[in-house]
Amino acid sequence: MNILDDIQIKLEKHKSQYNYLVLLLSLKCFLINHYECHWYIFTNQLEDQEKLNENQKLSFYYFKDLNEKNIQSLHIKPIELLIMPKNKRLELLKIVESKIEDLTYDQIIIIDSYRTDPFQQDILFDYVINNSFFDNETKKIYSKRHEDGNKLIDFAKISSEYYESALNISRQNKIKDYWKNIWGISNNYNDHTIIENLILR
Amino acid sequence: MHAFLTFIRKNNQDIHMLGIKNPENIIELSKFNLKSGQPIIAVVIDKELLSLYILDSLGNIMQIYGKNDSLFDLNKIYDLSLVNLKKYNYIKTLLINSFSSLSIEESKYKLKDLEDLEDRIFCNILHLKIDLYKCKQLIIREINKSNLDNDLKTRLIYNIKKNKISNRKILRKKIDIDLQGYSINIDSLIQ
Repeated sequence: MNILDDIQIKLEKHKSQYNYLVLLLSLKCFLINHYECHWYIFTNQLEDQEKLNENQKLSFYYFKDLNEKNIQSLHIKPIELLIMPKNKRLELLKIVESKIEDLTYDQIIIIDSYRTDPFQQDILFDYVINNSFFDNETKKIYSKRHEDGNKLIDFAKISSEYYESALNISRQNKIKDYWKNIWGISNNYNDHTIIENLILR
Repeated sequence: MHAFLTFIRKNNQDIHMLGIKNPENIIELSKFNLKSGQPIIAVVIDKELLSLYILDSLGNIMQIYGKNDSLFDLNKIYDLSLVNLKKYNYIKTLLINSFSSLSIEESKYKLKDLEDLEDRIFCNILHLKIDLYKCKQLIIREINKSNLDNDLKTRLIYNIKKNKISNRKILRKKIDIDLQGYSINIDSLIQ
């Protein structure tokens, strides 16, 4: 059977599951090659602040495990998605995105790929900065993250060529690993008390 | 008119597309900064190269040679990359992991030498009909021949030697091509 049909059947079987949306989001993270990044389901309301506070405290390891677990619960092996030809992956991505859209007509989905990869667009920063229901402390954190990312990329001076050599990929991976140790984990997002700040900084 | 997906082999100014007899106007490609091991799509008609497309790591294609977008006039791309695909994936994975033993500063400072090394490795190994396990040996030989400092050579070679592919299936990963907007398929039946 065609792998696309096979995955679609698997998705249909899980349609009635309470966490169907979460399963789809995990699948999308794999399809866009950001399987360890955070994702948020925002409602464009005050409660978004609370959601962000809760989620940002989690390390990227948490999401890596969660996404892998979700994929496996769909009986899909991560390697299957990884080696899937581009055209099929795009086709599947379209299907998954349309299913997500059907389930989230009044919600805003943000996949925070910037948290583990500073070469990505910082969508969460744009969302936080442009919405008044996020407090100044949060805006400060995400502005700092955005600024740090830009500085790091400037420092690395990785030339952007159309074809990425192994050397370029390796250098980018190095930057990503470094970035993950700073903004991928939860330390910089936590609210520290005055005492903690004195000790930690 | 036929379209082929294959890899570039470049030795100084000599350019070749693996699996394709050199078109008469192949010299036209010397003005582009192509690298050995770089996947390309070549459209050839009557011993003439009509157009050439390069691919980025996400599979997006960009035409760098030819007046018209010939892919609109075709319905099939012959995938010649399959012949060397496992070797390509293996060499690339080994090199990515090996280069990661260098610091950001080191790789910045030795950028040209490292780029040349990678180019030579793909140029001298990718087209060979050899078993995968022999690639490591040949890569090590190329590293030893390079102009790099001994310290760097030692680290690169150590990483090549200890590297193991976590999942053999990854070696079968085909070259990504985003053909959205074209009504063209990839013919992978060529062996």
